Amino acid sequence: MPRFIRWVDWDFEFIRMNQPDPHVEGAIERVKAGTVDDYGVVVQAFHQRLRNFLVGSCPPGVDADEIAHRAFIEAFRQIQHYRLGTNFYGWLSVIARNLLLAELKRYQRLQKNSSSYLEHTLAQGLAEAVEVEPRLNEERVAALRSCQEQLSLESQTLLQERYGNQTPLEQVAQKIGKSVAAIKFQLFAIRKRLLKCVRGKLVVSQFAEERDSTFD
Amino acid sequence: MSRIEQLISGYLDGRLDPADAKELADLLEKDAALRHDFIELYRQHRLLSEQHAATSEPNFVQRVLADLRVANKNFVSGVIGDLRQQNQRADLEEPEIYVKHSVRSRTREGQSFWSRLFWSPAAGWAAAAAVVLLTVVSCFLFFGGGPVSAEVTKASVGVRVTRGDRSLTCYEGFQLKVGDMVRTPTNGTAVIQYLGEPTTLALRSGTQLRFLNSKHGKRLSLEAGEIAVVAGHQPTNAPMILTTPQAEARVVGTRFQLAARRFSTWLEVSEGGVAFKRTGPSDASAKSGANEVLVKSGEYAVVADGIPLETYPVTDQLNLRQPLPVKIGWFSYYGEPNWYVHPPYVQQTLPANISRTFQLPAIKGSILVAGAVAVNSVKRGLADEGVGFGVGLSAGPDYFLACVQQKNGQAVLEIVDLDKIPLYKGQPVLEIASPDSLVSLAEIPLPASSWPACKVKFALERGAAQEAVLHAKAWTGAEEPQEWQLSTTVKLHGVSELFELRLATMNSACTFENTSAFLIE
Repeated sequence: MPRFIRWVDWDFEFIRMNQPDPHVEGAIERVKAGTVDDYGVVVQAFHQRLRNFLVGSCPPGVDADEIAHRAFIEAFRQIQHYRLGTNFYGWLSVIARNLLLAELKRYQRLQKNSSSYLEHTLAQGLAEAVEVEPRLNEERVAALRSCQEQLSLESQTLLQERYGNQTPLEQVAQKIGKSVAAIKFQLFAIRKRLLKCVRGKLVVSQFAEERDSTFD
Repeated sequence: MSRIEQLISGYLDGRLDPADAKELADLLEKDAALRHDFIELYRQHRLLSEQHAATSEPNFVQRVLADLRVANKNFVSGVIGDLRQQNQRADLEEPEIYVKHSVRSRTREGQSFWSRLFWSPAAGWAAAAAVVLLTVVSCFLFFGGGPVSAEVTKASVGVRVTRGDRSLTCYEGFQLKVGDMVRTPTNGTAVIQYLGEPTTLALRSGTQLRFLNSKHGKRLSLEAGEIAVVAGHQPTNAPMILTTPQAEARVVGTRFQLAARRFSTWLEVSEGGVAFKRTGPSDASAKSGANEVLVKSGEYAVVADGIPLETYPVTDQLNLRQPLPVKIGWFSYYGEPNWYVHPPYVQQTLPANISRTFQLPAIKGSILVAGAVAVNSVKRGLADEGVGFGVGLSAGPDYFLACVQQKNGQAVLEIVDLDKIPLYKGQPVLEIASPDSLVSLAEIPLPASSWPACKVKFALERGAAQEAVLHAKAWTGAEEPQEWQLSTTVKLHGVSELFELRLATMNSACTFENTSAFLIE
């Protein structure tokens, strides 16, 4: 697993997104002064972004909203520790990341206890990824969206059937006039193609890695 | 596709059987690069699901704010205050009470418009036409695997709906579909309301309820846990049927409670009647009884191995044939100043090493004991010497569940004398290092400088064949874990008749709350 993954273009967007929004900062200031209802503005501002941050790393059966919910509650409890004018989202995402790690460890324990070794391995791998990738899935979300746009119309339709409409594979096969095995094959080929494309976009910065090792 | 690709594809599409899952796990174990690819494909799979079908809660902001208002009160109330609040909330959220309220409030709301419309003579034909149209639409939806005309009207945090291979967050107003499984966490409840009729299902904690496909009427499978049902009048040709692993309840009347346990299914009827039928495999002694009974108002019945299926009157007699939580006969030394007995709460006010025994009539059959304990204070000097503190439950001579404070500032949930309780059915939950070992089930980080209260919750069910299922969890602070930290099956040796329950403490002062027993001879 690379120590530090960057998608260079994305960094500029990241910097822009982390500029404090005066409207949200004002709401945080009022929350710190004791107005609970203004926290709704804060939750609204960061909910979707936090969800994107978490969703690819949640174990099976755990929704990103569960972790996001707890992260917002915990951030509220600790709100007096937040310094106005700094990066609230960065602070919130650290809380969310720690909660996600705790959830993955809990899930690992449960799966080990019930001899579900595959799920245990999966949770272990996800936890490792969470530990080494500070921004988790934020880069992947944009990269994956861009890669899907490069797919053929047929492939995009198949993804929409499988993930958007959640049509059973048998029905998809019937609709398209292919066998179920052929649909499975095609779907997996799309997944592999997307993964290759996303990896291409997530440029592993040798420079960053070398720079980090110099400072070690 | 290669074999490994077939397996990964099968996993992502939810089509992997246990043998294939084991094969995939073994392959991943041997190959780090393959494991990395698998993890990345899984992450991509989750992101694709998110991008194509946004499943974010529509009222997420409101739920966070609602929880904050409750949590905000808990911050200042301290642990004991929090405990009291939880008790009060538990009382308020008693499903039966809530159900009554829910039905009444909905009826009142309805009277303002719908009731007047319905009872208006001029609207008679229109209503009839609407009924026909509704029936046609319902049939269409039914055969298309559509909604079940029921929605969630109340859901604690952690309530989930499993739909196909997806697990969805359940919220108020969530529309249920055929095939959905609603799961409540071990510290949460949910209420489901059928639309257009006063039928309500209140799911208690740790319940799994599935909405099945049915040509006529309603069909539900209670796979675990307990529900309280208020059923509106069900047409004879479209009954409401609830199944459990052992039994089937066909609803004739209006108000009842059904509990699906590991070894038994319990039914108590408060109004009307329910046809109750044994469906699972049964032993010879059970076969001597009836296979189906009509349980009427004020009666209960149990389907369990070794027990003939009969109806019994619900009485106030303690500890005998009570299908619903009963107060354990707290007959301990009331005059002792260190103990404050006020059922259903028992408080030990000063730290001590003490055990309180509650005698029972000899119980040969199944038993379910559930409860919660809060450790209020600890005698620190002894704990520093490595003695620790503990609270526990003992059912028979072999069992003691404890929350133990260690010298290093950690608290662990332990089973003492585990060597006397060999694992049963090969569940690899616990590993015994040596006959004298204590097994740490859950490590709870605690600040070394303070001794915060610790809470333990447990549920122990013993079947007729001396098998026992133990669930337990321990935590500190206000946030109770949603899942059991321990769920295991054990065999109780040398306990053919259960005759006592013991609540024990070690260097700690505790409050035993809501401890209850379900017993059957």
